[in-house]
Amino acid sequence: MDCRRGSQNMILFFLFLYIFILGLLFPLGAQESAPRELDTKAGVLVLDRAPSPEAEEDAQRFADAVVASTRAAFVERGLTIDPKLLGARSDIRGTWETENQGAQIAGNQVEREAGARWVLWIRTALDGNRLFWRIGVYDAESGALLGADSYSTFAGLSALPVIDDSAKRVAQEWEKAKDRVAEKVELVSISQRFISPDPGVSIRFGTDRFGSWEGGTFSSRELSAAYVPFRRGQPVTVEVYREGYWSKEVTLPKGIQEKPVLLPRLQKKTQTAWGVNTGIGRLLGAALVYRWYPVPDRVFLKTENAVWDSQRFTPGSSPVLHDELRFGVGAYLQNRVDAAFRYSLGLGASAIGTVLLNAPGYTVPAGIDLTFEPLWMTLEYHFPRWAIVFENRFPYSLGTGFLYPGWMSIDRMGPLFFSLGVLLKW
Amino acid sequence: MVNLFQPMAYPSHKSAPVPAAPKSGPGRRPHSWTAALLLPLILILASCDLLSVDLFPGYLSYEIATVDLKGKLSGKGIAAPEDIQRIAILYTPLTGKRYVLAYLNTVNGPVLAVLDGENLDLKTVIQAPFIGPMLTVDMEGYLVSAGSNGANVGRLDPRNFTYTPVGTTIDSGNIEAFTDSGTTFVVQYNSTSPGLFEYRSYPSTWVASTPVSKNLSPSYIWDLYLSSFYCEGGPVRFLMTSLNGSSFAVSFPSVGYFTSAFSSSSIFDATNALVVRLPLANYNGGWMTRGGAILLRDEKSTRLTRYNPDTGAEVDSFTVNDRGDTRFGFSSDGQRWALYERETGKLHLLRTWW
Repeated sequence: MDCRRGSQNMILFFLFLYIFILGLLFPLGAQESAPRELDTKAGVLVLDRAPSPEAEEDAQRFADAVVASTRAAFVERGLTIDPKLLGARSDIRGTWETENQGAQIAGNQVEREAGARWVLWIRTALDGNRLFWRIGVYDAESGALLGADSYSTFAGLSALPVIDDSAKRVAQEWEKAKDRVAEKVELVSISQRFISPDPGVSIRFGTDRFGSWEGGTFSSRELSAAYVPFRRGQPVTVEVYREGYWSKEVTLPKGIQEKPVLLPRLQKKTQTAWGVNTGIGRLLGAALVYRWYPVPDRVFLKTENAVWDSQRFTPGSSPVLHDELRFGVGAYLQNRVDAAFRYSLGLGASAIGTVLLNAPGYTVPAGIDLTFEPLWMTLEYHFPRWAIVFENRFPYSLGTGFLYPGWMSIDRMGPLFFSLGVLLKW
Repeated sequence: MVNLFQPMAYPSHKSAPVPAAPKSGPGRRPHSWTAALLLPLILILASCDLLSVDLFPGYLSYEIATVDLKGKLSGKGIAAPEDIQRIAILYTPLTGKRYVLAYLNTVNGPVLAVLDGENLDLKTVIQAPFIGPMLTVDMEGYLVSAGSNGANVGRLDPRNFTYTPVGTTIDSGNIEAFTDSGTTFVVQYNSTSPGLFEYRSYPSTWVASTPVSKNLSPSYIWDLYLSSFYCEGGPVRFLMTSLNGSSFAVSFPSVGYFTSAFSSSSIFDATNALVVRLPLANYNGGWMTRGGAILLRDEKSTRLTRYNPDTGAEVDSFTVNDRGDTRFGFSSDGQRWALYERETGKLHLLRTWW
């Protein structure tokens, strides 16, 4: 008998042990919680009322009026408003610009509590006899602002219809936009990496015109930009900028990607430039050029000093030294100030001093030729800090020295006064 | 100085001694270190001929002297002073100097300007009917300008620049002259078919001799022009230029062979005549010098091209900024040349490029 009872106890013991182990392994009712879908027909009200120590009751009454009008306007358009009124959390109070961040946090809170998709964010303040309010409606999922209205008026009964109209306007805007934003928004989870050959370059997402977020500054060749929650696949505009350089906008057509993006090099804003060149007719010499740009990369004044020898290296030939001092003003013709390929036109004048080193029949074997250049043109290929410059000019000699008076030409080749050189930007 | 006449294949011929280039002064050469320094650059650029392209007139680095001849002549009351027709650079043993002679025919008669051959100082300007385009140095070292419509030969004493006519007259036309061993030869070419070649010799002071004539070639050959003679005590060479067909460089080992050629059937057929065909040349654009035969040619550009008169091979060329009406003249010794630009009225005295 005792033995049977003992066996039964043993069976019960192992049964309970088995159930206990099963309970540990498979807890009763335990399920993996799936992401909860937010109810697109549900909303929650958040009130952020500024304290008004002198008229706290009035301030609360007006706040209640704004809440009531807002609730009524949205309920009228089919939105179920959680009866609980949430107060703004102290850690998210701040500027109006951070309100969408607060809306997201509030949305998360609402999600946990009610699963509502829309957050009606109301801010009120009573300052003396002036009542201020702002009503905004946000998408709790993306933080997007769908509609907003702010107003101030005399704090009296006359404010009530104004508050009503304000709430209705916001509700109307929400109704128009809610279907569009209710689409599932998928945000990127990575930050974009960039490659730039130029350290010191910074990037920002977006542009100054439409608002932007700083992405970081290159201290080496590669930069992992600051994270910004862009929509996946949505094109992103990146502005590359650096002090003293022309900024550039780059569009990432596929949005943020894991593959690093090679950024274009920025062109230096040219204030002054130095250069050297040589050309046909003066290949045994070189010219030093200085340019000053009153309008960077648009208009420039230049001066040039060229020294060359026109010796021919046959037995009877002797050195003939020339020194040309040249002045001119020119302008680039294309719109883009940071274009790689540029062309310019200009005009100028020059004086060419010539000395014959072996002309014993001369009393003074030297002369000065004055020329006028009604037109010269350049074709330039620009790198960030330097450029290759090809120039041709069409000078007219006044015949004051060794040159013939009239339009200058080289033998019978015409006005082929080509020169090729480099320009260094400072 | 390269004497292109040296390889001439005449067994009996000994060429005249060639004076060495001066160590200093106008004919001196550029320092060798300069050439060495620039040699790599030259090698790169010379192949595309870009080094010879110049903003300035190409002759500038050869320039010895220049003068505003038009201005000088105008100052002496010469009409149309820019119309220089012929330039010669002549050396005379009387003074041991070179002179540049410029001939022009004005409405008031022919004019001869005589300038110093080193600095182009204007020595004298003669306006007389005896002046002609034939410019030479005669058997006594006088400067001669003749060949003007059968007028008397006039000659200029380079020591005092007095100009005196002599009793001899010579015809006008295509006349050139050279002097060898105290005899002056005046050679005339008549291009009427079949091209008659005639010379007179003047062994003493312009005493007329019997003219000797002979056809140039068995058949009429184009429209030739007797451009220039060269004789410095050795071979005799002359240049026949043409605007149609070919030009010719004709060489004889000595004056004797030249004169005996007139007893042949034609000059070109003479036993010791070396006749070399050369390209076309501009009218009055040929010079025979110790440095070779030089032709003024218009191709892509106007060039003075130098040829070996023994082979006809092109030696080198010089591009000139021919601005329409430029006159050239070469010294017989091939060391100097001159050009006159009608546009500017300037006469330039230059070193040769060889």
